[in-house]
Amino acid sequence: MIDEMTKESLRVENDDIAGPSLMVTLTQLDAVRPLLDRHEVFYWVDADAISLDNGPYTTVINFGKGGDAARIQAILDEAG
Amino acid sequence: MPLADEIRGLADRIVARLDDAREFYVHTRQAWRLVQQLAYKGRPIGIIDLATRRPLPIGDLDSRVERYVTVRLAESTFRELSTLLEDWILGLIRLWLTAYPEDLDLNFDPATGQRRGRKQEEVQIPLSRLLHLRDCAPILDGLIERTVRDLSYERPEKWFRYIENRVRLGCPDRSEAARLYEMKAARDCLEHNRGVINRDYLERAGTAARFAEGARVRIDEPYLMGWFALLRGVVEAMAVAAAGMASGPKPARPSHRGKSQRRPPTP
Repeated sequence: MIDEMTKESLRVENDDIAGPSLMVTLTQLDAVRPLLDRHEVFYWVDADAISLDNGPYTTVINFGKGGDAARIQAILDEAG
Repeated sequence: MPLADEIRGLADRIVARLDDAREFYVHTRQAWRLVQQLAYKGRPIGIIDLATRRPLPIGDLDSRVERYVTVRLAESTFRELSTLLEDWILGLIRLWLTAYPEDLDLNFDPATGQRRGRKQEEVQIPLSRLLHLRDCAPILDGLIERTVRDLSYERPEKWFRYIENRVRLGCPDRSEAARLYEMKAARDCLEHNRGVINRDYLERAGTAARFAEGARVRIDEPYLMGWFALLRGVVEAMAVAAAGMASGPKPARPSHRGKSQRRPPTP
């Protein structure tokens, strides 16, 4: 999947303690959620979205400590 | 693992948590200041509620930065520091007693296997917790845990006295100990008295008290940064002293019947 803001592939960020996360725009959020649900990936989304300089609203999908960053990245990459 | 290594390991973990707490404080403050600058420069910021997709009011975000950073963030970080002090001292006591369980009872003489005099230490532990145990080690573990738990409800002054009566570390010094007592008193004031200074704080903080009765505890950044430095220094010094003593033969117990020559100061 392509990041609407950077025009590059969506990239899952990983943190040793907090686990993986993914920043997406709201339109991408609507596309990513069904994908994650279909693969039974556990996640939660920040309760709000932020826009800076009138850019698109973005929010963060959190996968938690047990999240598998490589698996999630593969799911996104396969989706094209 | 040898006791000296256990002590070093505990100290390293505490110092790592100290560093982590310091970085969290600094980075969070920086992030909030960035928000403040964006607002100050008039950069358009929008926030919407994802559930309703409606805009959230952000007009007062800028005005809340100062309160969030200088009060909420500083106080929560300060509380964490107090927990680290407790984890260090009580952790050290737990390690020492596990290695030298005879130190549970200061009136026990390891040389003769008898107690000195008529006075004896008492620790109450429910019989039901002992009946299913088959050997001495789990019983001692239970006694040590009980002792440490009971100490956790006491003042830091008693924690240091407990250590000094068993192994004379020579640190922290009087001035450092007084600041540690004040820190715990201020933390308890925040936790149990809405941050309002009371007589309990004044009594416990002693000569290191920073506020008058009725004032509110204030955790400013220089005070907080001073704390990070003090705690790190105290943990390092105590770890070096305790690990050094643990490396050699069991040190003779300090005199403990009111004749201790070097006690932490009474606040």
